[in-house]
Amino acid sequence: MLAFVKCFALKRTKHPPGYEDPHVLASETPFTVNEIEALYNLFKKLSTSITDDGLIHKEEFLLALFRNSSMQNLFADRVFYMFDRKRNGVIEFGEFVRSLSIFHPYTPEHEKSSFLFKLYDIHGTGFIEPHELKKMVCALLGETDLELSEESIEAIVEQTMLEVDTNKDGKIDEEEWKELVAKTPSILKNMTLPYLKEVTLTFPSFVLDSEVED
Amino acid sequence: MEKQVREANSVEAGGDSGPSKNGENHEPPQLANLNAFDIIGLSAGFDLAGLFGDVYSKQETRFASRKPASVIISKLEEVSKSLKLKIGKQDAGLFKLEGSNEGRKGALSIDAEIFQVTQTFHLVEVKKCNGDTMEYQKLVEEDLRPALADIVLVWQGEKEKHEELPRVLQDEQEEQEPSSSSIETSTSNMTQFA
Repeated sequence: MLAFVKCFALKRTKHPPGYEDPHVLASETPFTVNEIEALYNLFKKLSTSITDDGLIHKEEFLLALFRNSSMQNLFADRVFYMFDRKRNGVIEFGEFVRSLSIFHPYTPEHEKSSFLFKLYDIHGTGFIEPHELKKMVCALLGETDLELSEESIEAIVEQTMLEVDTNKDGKIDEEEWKELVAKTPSILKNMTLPYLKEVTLTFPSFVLDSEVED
Repeated sequence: MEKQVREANSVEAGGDSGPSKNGENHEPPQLANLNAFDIIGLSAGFDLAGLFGDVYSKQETRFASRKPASVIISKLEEVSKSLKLKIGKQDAGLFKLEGSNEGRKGALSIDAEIFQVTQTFHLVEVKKCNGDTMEYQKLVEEDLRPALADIVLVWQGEKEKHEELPRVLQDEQEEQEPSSSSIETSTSNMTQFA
């Protein structure tokens, strides 16, 4: 099996499964080749922190985010799920770059909006439903230790549905979501990481490292 | 966060009231209220800066306060003055604090935005708008935090460090008039929101 994988490796460097050529990734994302090389070094660090296989496992993702590989967090789980485009339980390099690119400041809003809608659609029905909203609100409250009564939580959800569910079908579809985003762009706040424009400034040495491998 | 005043939730309808000169509130200030998506967006799970290590240090932070908005605003004014920052109201609940000294990357400019969860429970988001990040962080850690200490319930991300807070708010619940959206709260501590 290993020999088979090695056949696909580049002559000079060995890459894990899911590796994509930086030039290809650069042509399909707002990142430059240099930035992608810098991201590759970051990816290597993350993907070998617990299991040395060049793939980011959930535990490694949680370790990076929370310094705790068994952290329970619904939203981190959803982010991981969204990054894991192939849904094979790990984040490969190509997935890492392509998913991060959604958070790039130059990425159009509609892509961010669509990503976030799918993230919030936790049961994958194509709609954000009140019970999903409630689950998410409860999850957030769980992070904060702030306790609200059942009625209060339901009031918040109901209020949101009233505001967003304009066709009154009891759920939020992607059109209604887009209207909400248009009205309150701050909802997409988490979807932009300004420092993605600066990865090479912060990791300049990595650009050289990437050619001298393993 | 964007500021919207939602009528159903807002007991403080009525005129715009800027930072009060004499520290007393004439009308309750208009603030942004949070809807479910705003609340959800506070999750630490969305804070991907951790993927990049400590390199990308925080340029914003939040704290919770059990004080009414008018008290928070007065406190911000007081703190600004003592730190020689100019404070101005930008929008409902949004204040800008500006330094006059040109630092390495321009004059330091900080936004402080107040969000209401209930009338006696607010979230304040403090974020750097302009200027040097290190200078901003230094100001927050060494000056802002100590100065705001008596209105802050807990700062973001301090869940592990924080000791057990008494469940004081259960008493508050009895006294508190329910707002039109009937939110009643009891809190031990407000922590770990991003």
